[in-house]
Amino acid sequence: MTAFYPDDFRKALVLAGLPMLKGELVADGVLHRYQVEGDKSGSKNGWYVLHTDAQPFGAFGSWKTGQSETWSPSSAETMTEAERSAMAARIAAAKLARDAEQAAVHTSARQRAQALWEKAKPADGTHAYLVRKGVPAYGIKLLRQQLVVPLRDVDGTLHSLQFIGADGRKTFLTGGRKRGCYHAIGRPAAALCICEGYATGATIYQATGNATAVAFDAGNLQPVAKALRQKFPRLTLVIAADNDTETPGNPGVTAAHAAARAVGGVLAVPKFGEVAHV
Amino acid sequence: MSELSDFNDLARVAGGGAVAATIGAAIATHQAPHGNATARDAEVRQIGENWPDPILPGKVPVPEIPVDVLPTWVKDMAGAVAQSTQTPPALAVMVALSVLATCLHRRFEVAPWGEDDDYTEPLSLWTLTALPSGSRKTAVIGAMAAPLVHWEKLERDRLRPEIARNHAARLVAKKRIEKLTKDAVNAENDQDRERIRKLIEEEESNMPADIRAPRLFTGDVTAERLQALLVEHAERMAVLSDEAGIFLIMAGMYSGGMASLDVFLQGHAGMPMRVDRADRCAHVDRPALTFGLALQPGVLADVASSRRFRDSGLLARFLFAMPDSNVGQRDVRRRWSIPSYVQKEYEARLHGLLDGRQLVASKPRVLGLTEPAREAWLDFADEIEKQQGERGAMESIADWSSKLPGAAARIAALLELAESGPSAESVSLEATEKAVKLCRLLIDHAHAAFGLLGADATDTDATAIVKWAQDGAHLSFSRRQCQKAMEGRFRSVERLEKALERLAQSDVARIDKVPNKGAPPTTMIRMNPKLFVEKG
Repeated sequence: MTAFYPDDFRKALVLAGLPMLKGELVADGVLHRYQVEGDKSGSKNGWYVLHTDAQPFGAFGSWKTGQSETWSPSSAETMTEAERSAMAARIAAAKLARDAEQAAVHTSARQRAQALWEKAKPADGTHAYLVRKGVPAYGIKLLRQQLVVPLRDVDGTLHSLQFIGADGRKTFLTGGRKRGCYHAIGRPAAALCICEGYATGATIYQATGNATAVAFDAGNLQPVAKALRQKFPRLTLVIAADNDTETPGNPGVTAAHAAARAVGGVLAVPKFGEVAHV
Repeated sequence: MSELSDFNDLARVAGGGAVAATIGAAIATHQAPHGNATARDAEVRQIGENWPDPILPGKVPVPEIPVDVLPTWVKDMAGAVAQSTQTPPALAVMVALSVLATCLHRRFEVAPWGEDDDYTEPLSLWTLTALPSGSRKTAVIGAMAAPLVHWEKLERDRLRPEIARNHAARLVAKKRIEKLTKDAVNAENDQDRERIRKLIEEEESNMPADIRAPRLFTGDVTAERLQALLVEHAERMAVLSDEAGIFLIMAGMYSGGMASLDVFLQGHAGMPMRVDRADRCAHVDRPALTFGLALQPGVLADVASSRRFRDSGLLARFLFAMPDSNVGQRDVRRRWSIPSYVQKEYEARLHGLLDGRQLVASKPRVLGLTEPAREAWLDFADEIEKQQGERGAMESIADWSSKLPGAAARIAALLELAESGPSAESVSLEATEKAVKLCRLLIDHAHAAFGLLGADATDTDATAIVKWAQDGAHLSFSRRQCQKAMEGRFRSVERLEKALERLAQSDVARIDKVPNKGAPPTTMIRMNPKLFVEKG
């Protein structure tokens, strides 16, 4: 009977888009890390906790994508009261283990980020990506031909780094915290813009003179906006959306709209239609 | 369009001005009126009464361009068209100049130092008038260019039999070459093949050159088609249009900012151009390209601060007119039609200028400036030169103003040829003085255009200071405070000082030195309070 659960659990990993590349599942109720299929070689972004005793239960997720899921072969409706409370205790324990592991991962990433940031040299605007985008280097550095953009929280603590290659390929420091972290360009005066990417932020700052926070992706716009609203309660926050018209649901505008609503900010969307129809 | 999504893309296709406008508009909609705004406004308004109205950077007041800078018959027509359409005379004047250039470019050149000198200017002219939508630009271009359309039709009709003969002869020759080629392939021996090959050679060399009905101008056109038109129509072509297409192509807006600009640059300068794109390869010795564009100011704003466009030198080649629009002030109950005698005279004189125009390009005739005309032209060139240096009135548009004396010589020659006819020997003082007068008026228009284009760096800086002051309600601040707040933009005090000086010159701000005991004085800036009062 116990052999059945690991197979089911593996299926759940696959369904969640976090299949295990290799290795056996260890059902000992302790948090384990593994390499997700398709992730960088040597990385261990996936994590899981699995119990296969009388009350089977599992939890899993990815540090990279921020996913966190639970798994159980039976639904809560078919459980007895005692089973349900045992399950709740296990979920809480798995969460604690995950949080502890995440804290350890973040701490390690923070230290690596600090070491790499100190090693990197200030960028000077001649990097191919900056030239192509037509923006200067604002507070970013250069390390092994890659631009290094710092991710800091509202207190200025460095948490992670984004690396941008000459071809525009962007990667983050494995395990680093991103949520609520941003890269600040300029000092806020009356209005503060929040956008997704570095080149966009640099362009906005260059064109408007308004301080700009780079949130790195659409999902992080709202956490960054909330953090900045707490820090600057009187400023006008402008959420500068990416207008992803070709992607179903326009995730750029949708996320920016949600962020603007959450903090009482304003939404600015670049429009390209008028340019071609004059 | 999928590659266009964020503000960086917007800046690349439409310039930083478009980014600033979008973000600024978003902020403006957000700033809800405060409870005590009225009281505060009243207070500010009271202080503001001692200030003149500010002229915001880029909003330079421009002088009217009167029709009397044109030769008699062109002046009559331009004046009548401006009156009939109730448009600013500047539009008709600029279109008229482009129409004259369309008739005369490539056939004549002007040599300011005398016809024997090797410095010559072709007579191609690039004019651009900015007027908002609905201001009857199409009607003005239509009226001024109507004789050209009529001339093209007359020529087409006159040449029709000849073109038909030529077409038939070429068709027969081509078919015969096709047949001979097949025969050569199937020839029984080398002797026969050689004989047929010689026949093919003979046929090809005897084939008459292609004849086309002449075209003087085109409307909306691509850079590639323009190149082909130059090849097909004796190395000269004009674009008279109120469509933004060609201007946006020049700005690289349809090609990620990487438009092929050679055809435009060479067409203005008359430099040799190799063409391998039309239906045949050709070497165009002296291409002549004229523009007469009438566009909406929004189009200029769209290409605002596109460094690539400015750096290519194309913007510097345009003579800009930025007249105040008449929209909203026109008398809808009045109707002035263009007198038919004015129209007839204009058409007859234009057709007179086109007399002797050959289907095949030949060496242009060079007109020198008379001695007094040359002196007047040199005085003007000297006056411009002295204003282009550091802190000079034309420093920020030096790329444009350095071409102005050349443009003045071109315009003088066009005016002379229009007044005296194609047999004119040299450019008179009168024509040169009119050209210089016009060019002087165009300087303020160029300042306004480059301000709108966001291409004047000092204006852009000055605008940013105004915006910062308005956003943060800074009616008064120190230079240091301003530099610290905008340190990304003002890394040097010199740059900030230039922008502040510009603001002071246009009554947007006043600069005071406040003495400090035992320390250097503090530079304080007071903004014009009128900038902080809601309109209406």
